[in-house]
Amino acid sequence: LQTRSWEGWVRFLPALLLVGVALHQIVLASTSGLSPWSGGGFGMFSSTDAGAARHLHAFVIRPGIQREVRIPEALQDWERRVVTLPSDANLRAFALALADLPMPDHGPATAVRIQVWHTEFDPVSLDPIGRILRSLEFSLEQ
Amino acid sequence: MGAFESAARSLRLLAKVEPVDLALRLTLLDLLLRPIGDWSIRPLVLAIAAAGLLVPGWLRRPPLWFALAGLTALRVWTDWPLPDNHAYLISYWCLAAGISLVVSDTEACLALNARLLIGLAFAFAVIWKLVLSPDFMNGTFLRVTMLQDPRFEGWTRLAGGFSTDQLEAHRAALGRHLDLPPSESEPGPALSARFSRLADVMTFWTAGIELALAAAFLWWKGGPLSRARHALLIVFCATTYAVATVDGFGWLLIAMGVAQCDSRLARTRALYVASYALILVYREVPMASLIADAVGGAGP
Repeated sequence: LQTRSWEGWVRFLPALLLVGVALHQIVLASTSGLSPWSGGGFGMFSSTDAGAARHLHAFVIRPGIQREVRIPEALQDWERRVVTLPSDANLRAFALALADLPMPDHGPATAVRIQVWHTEFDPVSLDPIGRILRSLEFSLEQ
Repeated sequence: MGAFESAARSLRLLAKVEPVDLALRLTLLDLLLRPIGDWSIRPLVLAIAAAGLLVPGWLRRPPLWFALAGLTALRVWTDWPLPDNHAYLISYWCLAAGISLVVSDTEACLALNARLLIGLAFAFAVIWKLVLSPDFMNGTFLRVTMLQDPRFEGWTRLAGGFSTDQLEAHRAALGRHLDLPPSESEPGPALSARFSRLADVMTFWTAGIELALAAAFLWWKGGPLSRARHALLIVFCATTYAVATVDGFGWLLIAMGVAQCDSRLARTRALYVASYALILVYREVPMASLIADAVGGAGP
């Protein structure tokens, strides 16, 4: 069979996509805290640090008051994405959404602090140890 | 005996189907048995997969496979970064099927893509397990997962020797929400030597067979390692998915394995189809749990 010229390279497209996405996943995991389980890098079943095993604490800060935010149900899917990939951009966008939530405190919020936690396990006893994976505070003042 | 003979005859008949057709049919069946995406994508994927299986002549239509590649990629895009590995791999595979159906040597192109995708997927899985992950090779990952992940429960009770109550106690200890220094937390129940040995064996078995799979599928075709690839993949599927019921990924691997079986390898194709059926049995019949219940889940 005679192979047409474009056929030579196009057949490698799926494999090239796999390699590109998987390398991108490794970069994001090492620079932005992406969970090894996510992002198409085939890191599932390699680490206890799955995105679903992470959680976050968020605090809206006003002068003299720091109040922890209970994440409303409408934002919980977004929260899952943020803890899975806690990049600066994701944390900042989520912080801005939290700043708009109704709170019992008066006055404008000045900052939002978000901590993303994951759980490590002692290799011998398997006792869980909570650790802050990423923590960022975003000023809301112009 | 009649049922066994009938199943064996069906397997032999299936093995006579052309490798490309069989691989594509198994892929569509995977999409039907393990649907992907939410309401906006799932009905379309199901409809196209069903049409590919049922409408005469549609199985080898490139637009069907490019549509599936597009929909599965759209699912990855909209759910980013949450989708699991299966979501990515099935998208690459549907794209490979579409490309293979428009090039002049369909069978060779699909076989090449199957070999590369399996080899690369296991190569990256091994890189994560051996190099990048801090808690796989020391056994922590499998210890925690076997105790915590409900998909492993039957196996953990059976092979680890846990009663339901013991497993619950370990889960409660592992699931403590601790945002405290370690010294302020209570220690969990002690692990048995039997369970620790089991986790160590499984850790090295998993890393070893995945490394062998990556090497066998990426090795130059015709080399000694390459010739063992079908046996390795069938053993991997028959053992791994008995313990961890991740059926969709297993079926996809088998479809890709079948795509590499030329007309001389009818018996290998039959073994792949039998493995496909075995994974369905693993999913539908909680054998490990039933055996663990029958033997009473004796303590270590």
